[in-house]
This record gives sequence, C-alpha cells and structure tokens, in this order.
Amino acid sequence: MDRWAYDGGGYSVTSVGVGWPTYDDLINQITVNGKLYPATHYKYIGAVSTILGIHFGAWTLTGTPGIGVTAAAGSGTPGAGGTAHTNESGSTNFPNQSPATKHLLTLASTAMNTVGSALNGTLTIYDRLVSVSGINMGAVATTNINNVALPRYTSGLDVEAWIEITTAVSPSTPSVELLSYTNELGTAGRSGNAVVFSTTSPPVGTLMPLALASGDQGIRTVETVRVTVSGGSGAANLVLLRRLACIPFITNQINEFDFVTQYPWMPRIFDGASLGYMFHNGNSNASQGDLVGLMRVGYGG
Amino acid sequence: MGFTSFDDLINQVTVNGKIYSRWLFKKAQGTTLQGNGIWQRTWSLNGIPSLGAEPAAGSGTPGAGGTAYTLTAGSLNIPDQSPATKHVLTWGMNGGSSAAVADGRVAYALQDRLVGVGAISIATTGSKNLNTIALPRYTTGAGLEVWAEVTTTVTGGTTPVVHLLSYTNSAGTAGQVGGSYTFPTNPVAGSMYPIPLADGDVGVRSIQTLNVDTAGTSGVINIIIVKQLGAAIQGAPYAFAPRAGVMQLEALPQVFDGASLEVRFQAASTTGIDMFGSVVIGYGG
Repeated sequence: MDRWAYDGGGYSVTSVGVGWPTYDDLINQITVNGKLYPATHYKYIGAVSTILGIHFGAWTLTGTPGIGVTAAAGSGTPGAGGTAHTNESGSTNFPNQSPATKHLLTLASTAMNTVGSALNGTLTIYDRLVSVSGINMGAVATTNINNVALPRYTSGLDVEAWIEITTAVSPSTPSVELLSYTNELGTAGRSGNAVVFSTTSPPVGTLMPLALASGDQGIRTVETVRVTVSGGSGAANLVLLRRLACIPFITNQINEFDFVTQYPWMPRIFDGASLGYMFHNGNSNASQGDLVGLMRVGYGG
Repeated sequence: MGFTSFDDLINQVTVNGKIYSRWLFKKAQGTTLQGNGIWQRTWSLNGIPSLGAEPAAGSGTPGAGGTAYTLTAGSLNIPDQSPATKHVLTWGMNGGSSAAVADGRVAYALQDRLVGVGAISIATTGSKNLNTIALPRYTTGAGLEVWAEVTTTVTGGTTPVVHLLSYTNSAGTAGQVGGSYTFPTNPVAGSMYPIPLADGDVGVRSIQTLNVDTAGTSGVINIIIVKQLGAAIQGAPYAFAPRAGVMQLEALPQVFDGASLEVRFQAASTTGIDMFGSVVIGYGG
C-alpha cells in the first residue's frame, strides 16, 4: 500500500472533508448553527506524579471523564488481541458528524496545586485507538499482542505504541521493545530498538513510547512485544494511539491555545475518537492537585 | 502554490485535508551530553522517527563524497506536493530528564539535513577530502550552515581544532577558506559544532577539504550541511514550547519536496533528556 494513499481514516494524508472554507464560515457555524462542542476535563492527579520527566496517563484516574475501560489481553491469534476504542467509556468523545469533519479549536488547562510548588509540564491529548493488557513487566519475556484492527488511522501512519503501567513496577528499571510489528506500509516483521524506562520503579499510570525501526512512520498492528530487562514486578498495557495536540501548563495558571489563529493546527477529531490525556510531569511533590481544563471542538458542513 | 489568504489556509486544512501533523520522540536519557550550551544531534537517537544511518565517507573525486538526504530514513519527512509548496504552520517541543529540572532548559532548532560526510578522523592532522555530493535542495547554498557531528568520542583531554580548508560558497566562488573552530575538551559522541565560513560568505555550495589543525587523541566526526527552518525554540523544562508559523514570528518557512527534517538541541547539562514534539506542515494549491 502506498504510504500516502488516502485510506479513509488517516489524517496526515490528503483527505477530503467538510470543514470550513473560510474563517467567517467557522464563526458562522459556531455562532449561528451551534456546531461547537465544549468538553471540560478534570483529573485528580494526587500523588502519582512524583517523578520528574515522565509521562503519566490519566486513563486510570478518577474525574471527568471517568476512569477508562480495562483492556482485553493480547492473543496468540492475529487480529484478536486487546480492545479497540470507539467513543469509549472513560474518554472524551463527541457525536459523529460525518460528512462534516470535527476539529480542535482550543485547548486549555491548568494544574491546580495546593502546596505552591511548581507543576509545569505539558498536557497532550491523544486518540486512544487500541489497548492490550497483560504484559508482565517482572520477567524477561515475549508477550503476544496481535491487536484487533485500528478503528481509525487504519493505515497506521503516525500511530504510536506506548507502554502504560497498570501495576507498579518494582524495584528495577525495565526495558521494552517492539519485537514484531507491521508498519504503516503493511510490512510485517518490523522491530524497534529497546527503550529503557526513564525512571526506576515506574508507578501506575506511567506512559513510555516505544521506538520504531529506522524509516518507519507508524504502526498498523503489533504482533509481539518483549520485556528485555525485567522491572522486578509489575504489569502493563500496550496502547496504540495517535497524539493530537499539546499545550504547556503552569501551576495555578490557566493556559489556553487557539489552534486556528494562534497556532494554526486545527487537528481533526475523527468520528469515534476516544480522547485521552497524558501529561509530561515537571514536579516531584507528592501532594499534587488537579488537572483542570477545557477543549472546544467545532465542525462545519 | 502556497496559501492565497488565511481563509484559504483554513479551507486547505479543514476541507481539503492538506496538512501533516507529525510527532516526535527522541530518547537521550541514559546518554551523556557535552554540557551546558553545546548543541547535540537527535539523528543518532532511538525513538520516533528512529535513528538515521551515518553518511558515506568523503572522496578524492569532486562531487562524489558523502550522502545526500532526500526523504531519508531517520528523518521526519512528508511526501512531495509540487507544484504546491509546503510550509511549517506550527511546531514545538517539550523535554526533560528525571534527574533535575534544569536539564530540560534547552533550545531546539528544526533543520533540513542536506548532505553529510562521515568517518572523518580527527585523530590525525592534515587535509581530509570531502568533495561533497551535490546539494539536493537550496542548490546555490545560500543560507546553509556547516556543522561537525562527533560520532566517536574524543578522549585523552585533547581539544581538536579544524577549519574548512577549501569550499565553494553560495556565489559559486571556489577555494574559500573558513575560520578555525576549537572543540571543547573531549567532545562526546552526539555533540555538534558550527564550523565557520570565510568572512563575507553567507552560505556553502560544496566542501572540498577539511583540515584538522590540532588532532584529538581519538575521535571521528561527520561534516553536515543543513538549512535551519525558522528560529530556534527556547524550551522550558517539561513544558511544550511552540512556534507559530503564520501569525506570530516564523513567516511560514517552506519545507521543500524531499526535505529530511531533524531537530537539534542545545543542552543545559551533561544529563540526557527525553524529547517530545510535533511539526505541523500544511500546503495549498
């Protein structure tokens, strides 16, 4: 398959939608036709974010949206492993509007912190595509993934694989590699170099991206992953996701990006998208507060 | 064919889908950087995209040395869209280490990697043949920079010195001689250094020879020719630092067909950091 051929699901490829032909039309669609969805987020970070420089996911945290669904395990049968997410419980999601295309207009967030120490970092929203549970982080071993088909971005272009810790790892620093995956071109049997976690004993919620093979630009399916260095104990999901947008956040200050005029990005939110939140942590204080914010998604047509 | 208006940009992006939003992850945690103020490459780092190959060696034959980069594995690249022109709409980076907040206070620059020559020993003095292959883009050489990338760490407490012994500038004048550059003591693999041009020159079309004036006890370098796209970003630790290409500062830097983009960063310490980012490129036509 041509890497750049339109597959009906990808973005980063030439696709035809029904967005806004002009800025005036955007204003008209929002204010006259009401084609706008605001969605707030509130996630209680609590004491999970105590390690500098690590990405944490909010999928398992209480708040708004609530805790996300638990993924099914990997499988020995190709195409049978894990859970595909479409307007998933625990995600931020919006009604389908096809043929109109939905786009992120703004994203705002603050990290409320009651102890006054800095909580600078980055909030990234992503479209959670497939999750696969059952990776034992406590042993050097290969785990079958064989994920179900991607529900969106079906070629796999720009789709990434992240390890999401679901049971705390202790006491060591694990390392994980994509042992066998199919890239965005449909080439099977690809493998990436091992990635060493950036902290010892990563806690629940830690997210770590896995490396691709040189020249690859995405993942269509993952057949197997391998823990190359044991963390001692712990368990993890493999999450296939597409990052959509990110903003910096500053302690107790709201920070908002306009993705139309300020940073003209307008990332598309596909029908069925199941948006999750992750943050790049810049504080080691255990008495953290909350991640609170708002996104606005509009559509034309 | 770019964007005829801001309205057209919105139309091309949201109606015609003429946008690429590419994401980066580069892992330098676990590596040792040269230190505060010294630039480092990401070309050799694991991640997304993953590491690129080292370039071919120089040659004694004019135009035969090294590797030209066009949509090269290891780079961030997007498909050709000629006659439409692609432009950076916004890009940004966030990075940090798990060791100390200050490690993440780095600057980032986005550049198009054009030509590289590898396997240049700086453990011996004298003239080294480069005779770079033709530039694949920016073919006059205007606005291009020359950098040295250390691929094998220099040891023994030595401070190598090099200069461009003979190059052709962007006006086509051959035999130009650049100023000397003194490396820091024991430059580590992955660090990179800007190599001066001759007074008055504003670019480089080809390099014939590099001279090692003072050798290191050991050490191997690449010489690369790059085009920086827009201004660098000053990152804050862990916090996404963006640049806007349309309304803010950047004036929509063009990404030519075949571009092989990479990010370099100016370290704040010797501790490696993990880096994340995005580059958003749109096109009209």
